[in-house]
Amino acid sequence: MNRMSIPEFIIELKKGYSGPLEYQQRSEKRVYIRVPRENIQDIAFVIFRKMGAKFSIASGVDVQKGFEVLYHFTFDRDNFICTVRTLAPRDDPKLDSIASIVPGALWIEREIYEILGVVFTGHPKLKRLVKAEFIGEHEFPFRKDFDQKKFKEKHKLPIPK
Amino acid sequence: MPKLSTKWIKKSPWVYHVGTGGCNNCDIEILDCLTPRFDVERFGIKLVVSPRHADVLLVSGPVTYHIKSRLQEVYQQVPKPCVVACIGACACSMGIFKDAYSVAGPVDRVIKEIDPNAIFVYVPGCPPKPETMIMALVKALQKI
Repeated sequence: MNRMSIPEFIIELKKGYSGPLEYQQRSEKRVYIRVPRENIQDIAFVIFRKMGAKFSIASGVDVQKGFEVLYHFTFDRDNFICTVRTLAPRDDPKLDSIASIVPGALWIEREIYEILGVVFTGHPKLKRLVKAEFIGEHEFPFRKDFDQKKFKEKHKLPIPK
Repeated sequence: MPKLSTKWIKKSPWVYHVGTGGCNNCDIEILDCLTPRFDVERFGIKLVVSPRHADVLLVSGPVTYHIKSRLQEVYQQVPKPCVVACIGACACSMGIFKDAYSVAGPVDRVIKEIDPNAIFVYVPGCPPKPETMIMALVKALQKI
């Protein structure tokens, strides 16, 4: 069986996607692609619809410049993982939702929205999923500036010694 | 405590499995107990689908705020006397989730809020071995 290697994958990707792209190959099985936030729907369309990758999961991280959302795509037949990373700035945390292209991203985008506070525009049903009911809409526990002590005082929870 | 029910528990304890926000590792080990390698059904330990049929509650995971009221409700439905088995480090003492924003407390603290005389057995480990769980059940049933 003919397996596609990562340099071949990048060439193939650039045929379908013409926007700015920065890539970094960490090993034979892992490649990271950084795209601006305006182009996330285009690259998801090329990777998921045209190249037939599997959407594994998305993850959100609070970094210095803002909130980074990483979409992990798996190429099962070619034996590597492609991670698309994109950045939402701290003062305007908005990203285009890829849920219209990748239906599996519906719930993970809701989860990132409620615990990290990234707003996915174009999501059909952006509301809370797993956070406990008493936690407010604008309290985001996974942000770096989340103060555990103030949070526990506000909701009258036992404070650790 | 009625004598008859105690006798039946000792012969064949039926267990009900409650997941309270664990990572599924302990749940997989509980399934290991029930599959042919350890096969606890030869001792009469049987997994049931309703808390109303159960004698033992197997609880795995730190209790989150979401699941707290549900766990208390399930405990109230179990016919007494019953044993609550805390499976894994998280259920015994919250483990690495101690002081987290979403965790209400270990299993024993949550259940003692509604029933101070509840009987507990603790199985620490991450995850505990199936042999340990069988040993824990044997010890708990000797105490009743």
